[in-house]
Amino acid sequence: MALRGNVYRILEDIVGPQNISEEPVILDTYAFQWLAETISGTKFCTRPEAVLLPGNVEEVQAIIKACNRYGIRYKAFSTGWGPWNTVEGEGVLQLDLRRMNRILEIDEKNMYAVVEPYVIGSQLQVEAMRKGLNCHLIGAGANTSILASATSMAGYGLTGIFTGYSNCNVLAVEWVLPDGEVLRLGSLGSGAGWFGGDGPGPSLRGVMRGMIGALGGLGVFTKCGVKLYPWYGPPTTPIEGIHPLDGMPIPESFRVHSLTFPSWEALADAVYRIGEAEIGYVMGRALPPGLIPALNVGSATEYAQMLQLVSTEGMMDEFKYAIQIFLGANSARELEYQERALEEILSESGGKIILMLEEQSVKNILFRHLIKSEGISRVFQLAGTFATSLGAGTSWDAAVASSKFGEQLKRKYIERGAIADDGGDLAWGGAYQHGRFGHLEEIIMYDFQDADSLKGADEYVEESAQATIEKSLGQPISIVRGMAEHFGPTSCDYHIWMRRIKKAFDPNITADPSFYIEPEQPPGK
Amino acid sequence: MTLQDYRNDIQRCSRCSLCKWLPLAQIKSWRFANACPSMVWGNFHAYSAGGRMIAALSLLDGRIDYTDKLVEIVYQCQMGGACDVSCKVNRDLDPLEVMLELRAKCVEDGQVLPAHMVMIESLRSDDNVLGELKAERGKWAEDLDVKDITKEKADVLYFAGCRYSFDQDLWKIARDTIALLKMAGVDVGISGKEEACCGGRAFEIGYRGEFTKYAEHSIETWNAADVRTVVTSCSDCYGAFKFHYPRIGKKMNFEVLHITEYLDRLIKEGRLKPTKKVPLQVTYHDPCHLGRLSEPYIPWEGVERKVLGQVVIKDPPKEYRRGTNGIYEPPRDVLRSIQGLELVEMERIKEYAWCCGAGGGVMEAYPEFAQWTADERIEEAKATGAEALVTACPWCERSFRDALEHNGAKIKLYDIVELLLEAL
Amino acid sequence: MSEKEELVVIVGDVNVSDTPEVLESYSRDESFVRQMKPQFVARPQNADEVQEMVKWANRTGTPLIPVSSGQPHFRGDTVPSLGGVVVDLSRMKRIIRINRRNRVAMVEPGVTFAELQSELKEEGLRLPMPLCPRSSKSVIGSCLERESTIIPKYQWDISDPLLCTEVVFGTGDLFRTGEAAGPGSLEDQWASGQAQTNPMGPFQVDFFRLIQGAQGTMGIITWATVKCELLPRLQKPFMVASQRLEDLLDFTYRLLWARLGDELLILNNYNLAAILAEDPDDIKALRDTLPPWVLIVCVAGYERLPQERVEYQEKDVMDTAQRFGVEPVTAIQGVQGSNVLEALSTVSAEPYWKLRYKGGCHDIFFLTTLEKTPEFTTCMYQMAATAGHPSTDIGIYLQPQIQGRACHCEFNLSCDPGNPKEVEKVRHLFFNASKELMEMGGFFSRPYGPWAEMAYSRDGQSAMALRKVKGIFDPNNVMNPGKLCF
Repeated sequence: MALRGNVYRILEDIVGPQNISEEPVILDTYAFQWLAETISGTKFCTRPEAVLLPGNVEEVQAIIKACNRYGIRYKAFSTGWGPWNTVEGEGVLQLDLRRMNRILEIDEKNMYAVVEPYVIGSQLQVEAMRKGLNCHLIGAGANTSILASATSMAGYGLTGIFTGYSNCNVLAVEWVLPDGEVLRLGSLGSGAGWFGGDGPGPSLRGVMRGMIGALGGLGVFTKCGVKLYPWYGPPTTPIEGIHPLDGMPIPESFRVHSLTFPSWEALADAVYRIGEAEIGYVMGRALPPGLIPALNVGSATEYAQMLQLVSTEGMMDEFKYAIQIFLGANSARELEYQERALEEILSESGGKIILMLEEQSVKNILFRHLIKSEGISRVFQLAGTFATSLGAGTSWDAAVASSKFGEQLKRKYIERGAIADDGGDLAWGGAYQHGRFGHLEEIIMYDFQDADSLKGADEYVEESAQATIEKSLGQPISIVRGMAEHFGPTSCDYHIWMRRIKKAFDPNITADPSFYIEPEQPPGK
Repeated sequence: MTLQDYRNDIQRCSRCSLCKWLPLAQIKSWRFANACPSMVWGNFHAYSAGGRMIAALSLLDGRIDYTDKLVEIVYQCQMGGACDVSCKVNRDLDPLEVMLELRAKCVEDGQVLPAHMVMIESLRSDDNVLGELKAERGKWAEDLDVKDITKEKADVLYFAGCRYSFDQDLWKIARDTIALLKMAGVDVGISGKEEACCGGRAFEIGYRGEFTKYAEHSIETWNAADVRTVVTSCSDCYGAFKFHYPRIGKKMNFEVLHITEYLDRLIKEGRLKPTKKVPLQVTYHDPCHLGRLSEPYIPWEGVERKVLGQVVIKDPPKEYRRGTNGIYEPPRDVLRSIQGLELVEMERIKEYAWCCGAGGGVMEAYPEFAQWTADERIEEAKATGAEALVTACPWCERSFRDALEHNGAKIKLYDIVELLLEAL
Repeated sequence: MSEKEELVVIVGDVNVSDTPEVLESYSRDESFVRQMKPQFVARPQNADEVQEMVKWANRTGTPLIPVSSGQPHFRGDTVPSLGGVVVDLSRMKRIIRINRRNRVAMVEPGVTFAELQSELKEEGLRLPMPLCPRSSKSVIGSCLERESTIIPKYQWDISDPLLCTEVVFGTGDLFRTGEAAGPGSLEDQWASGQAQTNPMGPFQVDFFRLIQGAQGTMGIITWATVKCELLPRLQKPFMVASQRLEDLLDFTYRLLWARLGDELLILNNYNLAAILAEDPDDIKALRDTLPPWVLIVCVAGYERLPQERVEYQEKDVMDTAQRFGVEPVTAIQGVQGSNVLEALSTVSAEPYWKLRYKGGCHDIFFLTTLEKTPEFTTCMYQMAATAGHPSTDIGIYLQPQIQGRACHCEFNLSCDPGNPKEVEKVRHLFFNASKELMEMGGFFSRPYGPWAEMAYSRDGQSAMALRKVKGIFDPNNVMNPGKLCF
């Protein structure tokens, strides 16, 4: 089904002929996605009807108004990584926001930036660092959009102990609502600037997103303010060495350690204490045991060799209850305080520094990985793809409980040969806002090109999701279509309220609801 | 390996878009964070390496057929390989190889660009890609006192390449090069009008047959002539010798050096002594073909195997080219040897360098895109505050000259050879 | 059955009042909002009763005005706009759970700061408070109003310290926000280690943000969890005096950047005097001796190496001060930092500090950024001068928020409620200054009473969007109708 001639021309008039396409080759590059096979059985989800590259809020608004007028659905994305970016059903437009790519402001004193959708984490970070600031980078990588993380997606990152969570970092927002009207959240709407996203009155941030964003189901975000955080390192961060052994020299104001504990319980105690002591710039399981061997290897082959080596030499036990922590401080005195506090915490919880990861070159690599948030795509490298599970945002004890369960469950699938044998424990995550809440998601790596592996991975994700209900482990992080329908009934029927929000804000249902909520309850649910 | 052989790899692309950017830790500013000219120019995802891999898969699976747009997507790319370096930071994929195979498939299927056909016609008739007469090839050196290697032996064969041979604006650089070599006492010869194209550009635009013909010709000729050392000041040719020639499996009995490597060697051996001051602040542009694209080809044949349940490994282990073994220090060392000259670096350097715009058949087929790409590099050079942009490749030189002429940017442009000669 | 009888069935005979005195007391507050009596005041004791009341209100079309804090009220949000029933939640006083490990407390809406702080203290915890809240102030009331707290570094989000809630929406549906929603009952969640510390969600909606700031127009909270902090073992307060507000700002910014100090705020001489002195004469005398501006910063040590923490923070504060040419001291004009800290750490003594000087007080407050506060201050003084209101009687409170991204700017206009002329003068000043400050870019994010119309006329899209939200959670407009843009 092609767009009716006049509709195409109307859209073309809005964005210009060079910024719209319905060429199959272009459309396919938007249908192809990571995890597409879990939706369609192939690497391709539904092809969008056309792809548009709007260049500013006025164009976005005009497109959405046209969509409302002609009954056309649309879905926007920024960097477009993950199946939730794909469209569902025939005739849906894909809006690729990459032409909106400016950092509009970095307010050094008030510690925030204003960005457009296609500013990626690395870009904002380097510009912020020049001004003694840093931004929250999500663990998925600094190649993702700052705005998307703040407005539309999730937002866990390993500096979260110091830089929070994306939901809590968003300030004012420019938002083209599903009906095409522009809502300016918070202080922006009152002409007061970008420093706040809440009010007048109730905060419409609550409609904009929750723990997870609306994933394209509630309009398009075209600008947002995001909090920046202090950066205690130098204004530029040179990288030394040859990849994959390239590292970032650790500034004097930082300390980098990997820690190990005698048990999950001891680890949990330590994390609570670290949070209370208000120490740490990075803290969490950035490299769960199964990923530590991946730190400085160049290929899956080398990883497998390294994993086998450390396993046979019994080193995996050393990594078992591990976390990484970077101390970062404004002054030498503060750093000394943090070091002493960490020392005490280790002594109280029976933890210790993993000596084999204390080598300077290894620490430099780790520093690069986590400050720059650039290492996680490694999880694609080993088996071809990965999926994640559990990982509710909750108290650290509950996060640990879910990890213990996840590891146990994974072993069943490892023994079956369905997923990569990473040792079982690939619980990735951390504790955020000085440990006020945390998350540990259990990652599995598998080969989607192998039918048994794909089936096993699907079953694992489903079984783990079911367990979160049975064991009250919080809502899992894995994002699939129909999630609200599945979990709503277990959680105060929130899906019913979401549906009402969808209908109220998008009466013509033009914003693709496939990863938000369908306007009508599916039959049989 | 054919495109089909890369099918598994292609499917493993996660659409992370890392191929669009410098490796994340290498990004130094918002302005110069991009790695891929094609993506910034074309904007749709299809113009990225990942996008082209998806397009290849779509084509293989019969989801799409050839269209003008597909062909444009395939060819609107300099094949500079920055995407490849970025992708491999954490992945076992070979996007550049996939893109090369995709072009080969296009040619095989008759999906070619008129501008490229002109190049190939010229190659077929006159052994060059510039539409010039073969008879004119040696003219650049006509009045030079230099050996003709087709008539007499020399220790070093200087290979000018198509661009230096025919681009009169650049003849001075080639002539300066000979002067430098002679000053160092090098026994150097050239092939004059008997020189033929290296075939590299043909490979890049997908014409495998032509490439093989020229690669075989060069190797056989030089092996037969007992050439021991080939020195070229064309980075494109150098890249072809290093990255593409090994693919045809013919033994090369000669060493190939880029002029910057050779000059560096001559300076370090004391055969060239730059003593005159050249008070100039310069920034150096790493030509793609001298940098990441000169990293030698690493052949691999094997199978995928599973270990640790579902971890997919290559058996035998496959070594990946990451661009780190390109020629980066020799040109810089040559510049550093010049007194009074100060080298300041751009943000995107070495294996992360931004392309000049000329490669991959883009200059011929999409001149506007080529010029924009050069403009971007000139902006980056200007941002360093340097007075001059220095490069070591006639294609880069041409591209920058055209751009400077057009955009009027106030920055001087030199080949490294010119500066060294000034210092002697 | 009569309306009263129906209410009696829900909350019990003794918990429904319609005596003239009671109704009168709920018909007005200290603000300029128009007086109106409710028909009844009902005092439910638990969520079931609240839910029944909301259902009843929907059946009968009766407005409900939820009230958590005790009197006096100041902002007009608890004064009925259209009559109806005041839902006085002061009987809901349970502190349901204090969880030391996760530093969280679960309380009902009737729990006041004083009540919670003393319980928290036993667990080694404290709750960041607004500036010297009145003794009757409900913790949940304060959280729902998004009142600024005096420790900006703990305010990661403007919604802090509010976490999860249980709410009866205007539809009568009971809901739990954040991770408390489920899966599982609260008990199940506690068993798995959860402690309702994550306010976000459930899933793709932050329901709690829609209730917060709503002045009771979306629903009624029946419990909430709040983010507590460790009780300091050691505290060392410092003050920096300045003749000019501008001279304090860069230093303040740097402290915020370096996360130095816990309590961090700026008061003018009037307000510092008002929170310390006991009667009008003392306030006046102290005000006149104090420098115009005082920055208060308090460093603290907790359970972990308290002495060391205080030491490093003190030295870092001093180094920073030197860099910015200011001098932190422990006493100013006889006012000891320890006394100031004590005042900041407790609820206000009676009478409430804002009322101590003249018996009445009208607050103008809004959000801005710290560097803009001098402009607003100048404007306020100019407008006061024009109105003939003595600038010396204006209290000013500047509170960095969200770890320094914004600043709560508050002007307290004291006035004698027994002096109609003065009241009228202040009323004019209040309205005119509010308008002017809003024009200048003051963001009235909590638009009480007359501010609502001003604020929403500047931001029509927000008003329209909020009405959609209102239509979802309170479709019959029974929850505190007439407030905000509803």
